[in-house]
Amino acid sequence: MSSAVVHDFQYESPSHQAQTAVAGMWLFLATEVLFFGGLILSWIYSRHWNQIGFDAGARETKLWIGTLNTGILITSSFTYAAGLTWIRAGNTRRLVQCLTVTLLLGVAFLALKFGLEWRDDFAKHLFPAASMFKITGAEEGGARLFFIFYFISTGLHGVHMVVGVALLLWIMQRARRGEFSALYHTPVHAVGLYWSFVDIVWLTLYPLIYLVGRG
Amino acid sequence: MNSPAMASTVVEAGQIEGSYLTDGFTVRSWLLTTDHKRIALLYLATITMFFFIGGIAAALVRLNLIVPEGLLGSAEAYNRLFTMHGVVMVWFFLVPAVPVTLGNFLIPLMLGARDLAFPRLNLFSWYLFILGGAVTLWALFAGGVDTGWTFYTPLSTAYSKGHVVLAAVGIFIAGFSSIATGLNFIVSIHRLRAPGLTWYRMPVFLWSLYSLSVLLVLATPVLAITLLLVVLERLFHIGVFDPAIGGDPLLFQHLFWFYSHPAVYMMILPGFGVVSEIIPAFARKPIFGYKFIVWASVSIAVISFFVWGHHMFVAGTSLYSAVLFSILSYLVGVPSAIKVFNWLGTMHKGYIRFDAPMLYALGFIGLFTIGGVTGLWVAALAADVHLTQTYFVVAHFHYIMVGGMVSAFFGGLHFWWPKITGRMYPEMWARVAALIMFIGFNLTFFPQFILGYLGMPRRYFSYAPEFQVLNVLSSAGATILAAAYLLPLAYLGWSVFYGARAPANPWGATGLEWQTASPPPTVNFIQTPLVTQGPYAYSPPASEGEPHV
Amino acid sequence: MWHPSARLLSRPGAASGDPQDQEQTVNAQLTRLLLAWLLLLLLGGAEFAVSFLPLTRPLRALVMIPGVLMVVTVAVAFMEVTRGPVLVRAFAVAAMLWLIILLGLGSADPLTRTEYYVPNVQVK
Repeated sequence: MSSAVVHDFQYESPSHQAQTAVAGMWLFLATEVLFFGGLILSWIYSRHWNQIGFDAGARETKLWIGTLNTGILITSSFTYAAGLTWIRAGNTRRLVQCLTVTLLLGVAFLALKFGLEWRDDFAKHLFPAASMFKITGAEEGGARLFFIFYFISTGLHGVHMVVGVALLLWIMQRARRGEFSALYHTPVHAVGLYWSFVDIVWLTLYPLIYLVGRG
Repeated sequence: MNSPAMASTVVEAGQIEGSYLTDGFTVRSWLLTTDHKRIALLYLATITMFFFIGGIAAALVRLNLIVPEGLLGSAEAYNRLFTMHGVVMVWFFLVPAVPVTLGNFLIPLMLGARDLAFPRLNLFSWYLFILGGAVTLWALFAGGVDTGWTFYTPLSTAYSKGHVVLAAVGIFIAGFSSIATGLNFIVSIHRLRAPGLTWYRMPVFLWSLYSLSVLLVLATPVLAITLLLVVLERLFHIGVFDPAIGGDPLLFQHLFWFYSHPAVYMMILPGFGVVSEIIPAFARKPIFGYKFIVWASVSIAVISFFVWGHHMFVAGTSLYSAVLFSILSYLVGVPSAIKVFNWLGTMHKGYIRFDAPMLYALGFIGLFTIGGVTGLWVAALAADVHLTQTYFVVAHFHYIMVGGMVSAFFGGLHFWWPKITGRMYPEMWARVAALIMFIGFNLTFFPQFILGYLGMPRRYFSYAPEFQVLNVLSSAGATILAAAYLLPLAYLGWSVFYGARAPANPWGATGLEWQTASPPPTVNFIQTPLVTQGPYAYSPPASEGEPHV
Repeated sequence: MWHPSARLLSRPGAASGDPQDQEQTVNAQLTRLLLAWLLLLLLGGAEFAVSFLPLTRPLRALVMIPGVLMVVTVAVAFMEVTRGPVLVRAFAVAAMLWLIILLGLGSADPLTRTEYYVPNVQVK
């Protein structure tokens, strides 16, 4: 793929195709906003009708893991953007280095989230569908609602993270084969948008899960 | 995928042998095609199948209602039948029908482009559609769902004994097919317009499909998350819609109608587009008030997101939000009315030919207007409390969807049939079918307005004996309608093999799609067209009338 | 195979021939990204800190304000929403607008609804 700047027959030029692909990714991310939007509306409803119980649930979350994971994701977005900057200058080696760091951070996030946090939540009887639930009494319903939101939203975010990690591996594979250059790196750009968007989803979930209810 | 090198060789050679239909005859050349025209035909076959499955369910529903105690004798079977009818028709025919067939085929042609922006995504969307359709049909045939197409909670999450999870998963998958299609259309219209094709030079069809695509990409994800929440709640017996723990079942209705009200406009907007192409062509006049029509499409797309609460007036929402949604619902009537007046204005003093596409378009205007005006009645808070959940509502939305959208679909199919297949359809048969369809439709659904007004509730398998006459009339109409739907299947099928060869532009219509051969070559245009004027540059036929512009 | 418009593919200066120029541009870009990252950490810290303020329950949602700023920062610095073509901004704005419609009109009902019964056996 040395002549990476070929383009499909419906386009005028490689840049026409590249910009269209990037626009397509943005529009896809717009649909994702609405996808998570429905979930946020469920947060509003659940908390509105059951503030005390809902917040009691929120206090059971592990703040340190959530906060650490926020830092990890911010950093991973930064390293990805740095990699994109390098490939724009044609430096594939630096791109792969940056993406490796991004990948490690992404895996660290997943390990903390699902290996540590979820396991601990299950152990503490915080899974809302279980018959035995940690919080009982008047606050039980609201707290269960909180953990329904918690498990669904972090689960869906996790699925997006796993897809992101797979995309990262794909980009790194192609980069190692030397398919990207200063002139052609559209997939790097598009996957970067996706990665940063998943970061944005987490930046929205972080206060909804860990901070707002902790009063 | 067509390699750019090959395509340009063909273009430079200046002439093209054969068409997209002759570009490969193997099954593989169809199932792995990325040509938007072939994908449109794949979709057409799929959509037709779903239309007849949904139609058979409707026929059984009408059969049951011939006698007051219900001919099928089973409330459960009846519930499953109308759910099957609703689910199949809404998600696997009405919403996708025009976009994925005519839209897929025509958008690149009307843009003067060689394909959509993302051809492989286009093919992928068809596979998603097939997969989603298969899963849903599996659910429906394995025993069915008895919730109605609306999946209201807590019926769907706690009490229904049907295959809710399977059906919801199928619709979830098909939803991503819709999103992919909408995304492809929006990006293509932004990025692939031919030189000189400015926004105000685009045919109304493109504007309508653009508006529709906005709905597809922004509303469908909300349906996806809603169905996911329903599935999880049903699987784990606990969820955000569960009132036992303080969840709100009305949240489901809000989320569902945030998608499903715009979905109504997903069905009708492409119909607007089709009719706006047919009427100028058969009235030999430029479309009246072009900018009003296109901005009406866009504003319908936007306003349709502000009105969903009118489905929930009696559900227990706050009075404040009900009044708000009622007022907003009236707003959407304005752009719809603008369109109707503009079509009438286009025909005024035109040189009208009553070919089959025009007959369908005229039927569309009449039936859509009835459906739209009765929509204003049920948007009124006070009237809706009386009419909601009755056959009045059933008649109202069937006038929009079947009377409006299906008429437009058949109109468009006939109008572009010569372009798609390269063959003319038999005109006489087509006119007969259009006429029978109009008569059958009105006989089926007009009695339902009266039934609803008299208070017959919808979704019951039996009814009070005094409603029988009107119900028998309605069922009789349904048989006529069924015959009218089978006719085109026969004569259009016949025309593919025996119809007269179509010229490039049989209607003398403007529009880029008529400037290439019928059927078009794989690359659509031998030379990328240069657009120098707006659409609908029609003038009266040379033989009649003085040349006034 | 170089195409004249291929330059548009890359950010300013990236396709420039002079290696020294190029290095300077890369360094400037990286500095910008680094500053954005520091800003994000700062905002994240601020959000974390204000969450310990003794706010009343309805006001707790205000804790999210630094979070919103963080979202904007990621969109601007890492996703370059302000530097891409107009189309990209249009898509981003549409997404936000429709999110506001969904959340705004969607919560109009519960915020104004009259409750005639208590859905849960719960101390209010």
